[in-house]
Amino acid sequence: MEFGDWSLDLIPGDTSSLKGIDSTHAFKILLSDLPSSKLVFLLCDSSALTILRFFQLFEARVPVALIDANITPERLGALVHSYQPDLIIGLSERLLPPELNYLPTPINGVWNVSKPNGGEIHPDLAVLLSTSGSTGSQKFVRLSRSNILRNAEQIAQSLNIAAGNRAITTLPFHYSFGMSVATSHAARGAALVVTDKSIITPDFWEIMNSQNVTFLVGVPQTFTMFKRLDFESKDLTSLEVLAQAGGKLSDALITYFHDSMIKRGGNFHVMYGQTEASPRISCLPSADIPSKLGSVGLPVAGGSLQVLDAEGTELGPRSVGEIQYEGPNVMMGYTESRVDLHQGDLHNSVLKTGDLGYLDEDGYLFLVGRSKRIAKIAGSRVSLDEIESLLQSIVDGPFAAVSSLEFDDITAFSSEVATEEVASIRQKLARMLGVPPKLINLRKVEAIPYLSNGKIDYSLLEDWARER
Amino acid sequence: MAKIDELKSAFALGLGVDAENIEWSTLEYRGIPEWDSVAHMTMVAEIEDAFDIMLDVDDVIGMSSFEVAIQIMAKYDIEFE
Repeated sequence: MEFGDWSLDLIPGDTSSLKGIDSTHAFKILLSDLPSSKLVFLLCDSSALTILRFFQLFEARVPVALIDANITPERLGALVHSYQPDLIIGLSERLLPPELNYLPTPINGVWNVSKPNGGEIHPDLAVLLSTSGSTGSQKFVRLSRSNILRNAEQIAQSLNIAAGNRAITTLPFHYSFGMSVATSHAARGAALVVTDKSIITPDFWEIMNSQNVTFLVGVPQTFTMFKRLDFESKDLTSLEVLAQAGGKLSDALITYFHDSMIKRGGNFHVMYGQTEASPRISCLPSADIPSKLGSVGLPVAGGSLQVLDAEGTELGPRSVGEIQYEGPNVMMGYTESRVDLHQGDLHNSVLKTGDLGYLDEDGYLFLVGRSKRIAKIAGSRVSLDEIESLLQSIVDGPFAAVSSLEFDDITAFSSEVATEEVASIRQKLARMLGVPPKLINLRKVEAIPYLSNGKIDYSLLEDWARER
Repeated sequence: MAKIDELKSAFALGLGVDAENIEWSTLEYRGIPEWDSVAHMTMVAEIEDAFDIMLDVDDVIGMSSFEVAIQIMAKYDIEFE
């Protein structure tokens, strides 16, 4: 399928993935009938139709917000209220509350607003992506057309994606990493095998071989699963590239996958990024893995990295500070509602990542932790402060939450929780956040430690959390 | 605890659900929202811990329902009345 300069061969991995592929012409007519300043909500599932609609909207220069089709009706209602999209694609009966002013169109799952908002949208705006799926915020990242085009190119270059590449869908499309697999392959006229089969099913591995998949990506938990599924001994004759982002993978696992790919005559890349950078910031060349083990690599082409101290002064090699990235893939800014969408580029290609790290003498980036109270577990971003509030909504009493980079989990401390309540509180919180209960630890302590300035001593709590 | 309850307990813990609220005869992968691929791996780990066994990769992938789990456990000499 051609989309302007891009082309992507969407290949069905199984029969379900092609459902609804039709009506391209009708859809284009529908788009041209909308007011000129329009916003589209695309509810994303694992079908090829989601991906097709995304590229059609991108080619037609219609700004689109990518939203998980598994969203609750309440959350969707709130987002619709804040953003008043002109079109919603992928709307099912389950999600359509009566008070939404949307009418069905001749195209299945596509609904048109009855009274357009008409609020001015900046002409550069192309894609809106959520940053924290589970904690219910209305905040999106605003990415320009140029951000998307440039980063697709940057990724294709870092990973040597060529027209013969065949990737497979392993990550949700509404997640920046998932979207970037499609865009980077479209930038090279390559192919994407579409499937909703999970990696824990035999069907997935069957498709890997029958479709000659050359390119496979995942977040740390994907790789933990791959190892458990004995990735090393899998006969994946076509696989050439394995790449990881979305959190810190342990040195042991990096070594395991690197060795496994070298044996296959392929490459394993560790990468780093943020939705705010469209998302790719850095990539580690496979050849650098033994010598630069633990690094997330060098900045993508056209980008540069700096490490800053608390005052914003640039630090030299091996000094830990906040990582700043500069490049054409840095977002325009955030948005909380439709009104913000008229805004232009507020960042000027500079992004303070909120991550802590250092650069070595050769310019390779090493991550150390998060400087803000934001954790990333199971690939999702969660606010530690918000976790404390959620815990307080379950059970009264003060809670202090910290995250562990090495264990990719959260530990909350409480001086008042009853031992017999711990298990049920963990489960409730895990369900609220949409993460496995195993990633939430809840510990009763004598007292929560405070600093002399009255603030919670999170640093000490992080040390306690590290003790296993 | 009866062996079958140990298995149910391992499932419940791994999937993050209440054992009392589950319809065990029909419980299957993706049958409830909580049983996704991540929960699956956690559940497998809980079963291995509870019965002190190491599941074969084919069995990890093959454990698609509670009923199937009972059959798979037989390969590891774990029988339920």
